[in-house]
Amino acid sequence: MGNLSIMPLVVALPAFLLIGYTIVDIVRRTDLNGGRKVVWAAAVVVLPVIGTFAYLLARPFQDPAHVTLRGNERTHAVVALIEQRAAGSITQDEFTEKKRAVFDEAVDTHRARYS
Amino acid sequence: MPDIGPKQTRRERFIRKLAGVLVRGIYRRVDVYRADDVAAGPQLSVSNHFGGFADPLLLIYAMPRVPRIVARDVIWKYPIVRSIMNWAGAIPVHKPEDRGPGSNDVMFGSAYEALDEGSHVVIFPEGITRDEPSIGRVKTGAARIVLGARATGTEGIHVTPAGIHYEDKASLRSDVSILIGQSIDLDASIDEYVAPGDDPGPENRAAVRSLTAAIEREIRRVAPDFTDWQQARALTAGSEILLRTLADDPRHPIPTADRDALAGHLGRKPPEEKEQVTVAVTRYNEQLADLGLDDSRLLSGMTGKRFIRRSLGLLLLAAILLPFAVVGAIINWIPYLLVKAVGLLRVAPAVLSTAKPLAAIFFFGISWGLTLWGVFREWDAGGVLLAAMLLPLYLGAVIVFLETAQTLWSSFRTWRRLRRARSSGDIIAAERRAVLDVLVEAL
Repeated sequence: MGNLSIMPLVVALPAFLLIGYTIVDIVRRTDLNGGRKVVWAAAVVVLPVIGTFAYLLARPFQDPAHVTLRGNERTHAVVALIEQRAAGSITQDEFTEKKRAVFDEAVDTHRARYS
Repeated sequence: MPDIGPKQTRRERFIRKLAGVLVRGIYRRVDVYRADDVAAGPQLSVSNHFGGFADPLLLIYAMPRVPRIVARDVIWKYPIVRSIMNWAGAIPVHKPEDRGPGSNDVMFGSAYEALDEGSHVVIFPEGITRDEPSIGRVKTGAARIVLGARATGTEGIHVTPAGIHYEDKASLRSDVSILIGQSIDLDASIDEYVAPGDDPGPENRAAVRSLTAAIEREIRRVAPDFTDWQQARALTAGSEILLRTLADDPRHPIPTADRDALAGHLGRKPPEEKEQVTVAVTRYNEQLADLGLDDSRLLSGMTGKRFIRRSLGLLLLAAILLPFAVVGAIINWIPYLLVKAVGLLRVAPAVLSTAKPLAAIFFFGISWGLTLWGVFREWDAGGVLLAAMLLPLYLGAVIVFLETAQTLWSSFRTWRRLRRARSSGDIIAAERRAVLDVLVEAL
């Protein structure tokens, strides 16, 4: 078969990378105890194809959700101001003044960066 | 990222994993923001319904517990679909406009039973998919299910609102964000819906009406709910401008769930304020569009030096991926073209958001099945396992290769256009400051 020469590249290389990734994933998981990690790692090393396939099939799915806004301190400050305003713990004038201050500071920081 | 808490059955784990693999193939970025921490007990999630088949798939992916989906009974007519729906634990609902025999006593029975077992049930209370960026009339089914289940003795029911935001629901590999809001604790808040001494069951029309209104309000808080598409686009873009201004580094992409949550906040402002923001943002975006730019490109700081540095990395990635992308392209070009052909159908976006993912699953499934069969004939079962793991990687290589090429091209154009727009830099900066002032004022 003429295409045999490209087989190591397109089949063996990704297969090795996948097995390597699998072992790294087993080691780094926090929800498995040491014994189970050893068993899975041994399975992947001894029977690479079957072991990796079984591991990837059995591995629980990770929760994709994040539970807070992912913005930085400024974003969280603005969100907190909105919430305080909604709860009535600050007045409309305080809210307006404080939110403007946050944005002015942000704009100044960026201007300093780019000029 | 922590793994999920609640114990799941093997079947549920498999359903969730399958949904996860499909979602990651079908969409580019799926950003989930969950304010709610209900992880056990009877739970009814209520969601907007913009995307047909895509909606339940995304919710299975995004929710910590695999939900049982309440779906129209007409799809149970098709043999294979029926088996899949039953296996996934879906609950059929009969709609009068579908005609034919059927009543909803069975649906209510199954839903009560599911909640009584402490399961998680998902319903789309608008009943039909929508192509407008707003919430339609919320029907009473959800309220009747939870009041009925509570009347039969189920305690601790939570009603959780969910909002699915599609960047472009008619195209594959687009972005989606999902916002999951605070749950209504039915037992704790029952007095808000049922007057003291009244029947707390699903026959109490006033209670059903007031709980339905509460559900509708909660869905509107998390789902896209705008007057029209222009306003939806403008407030979403405005939210992005605000968050980009606040960001430590405005070159980084804005998390879409954060953006859509803030856009929702702007969407709840009085109509005249929304109108003001819409006009200002639309004008700003049009001015930038005349220069071939948008706000993210304007703040990208893409100089020639930066472009070259960036493109070196991207070119290296593309070069490494090329051989695998070629293999992936050879295996996948036929199903790709077939899915493309489905996209040419002149139907509503909500229909495409059902048809395209299904067509992709079907055509890629057949093509991969045939490839695996070929490998089995040529080699052995071990080869099939290896191929089954490598096929997704090859497709991934094609996708990443193409998306890298796209990024490269887009960065190049950003650099050229920013250079051309440099002479009017001060004017643009003043315009941005003006639109930002309007947005901050409206916040």
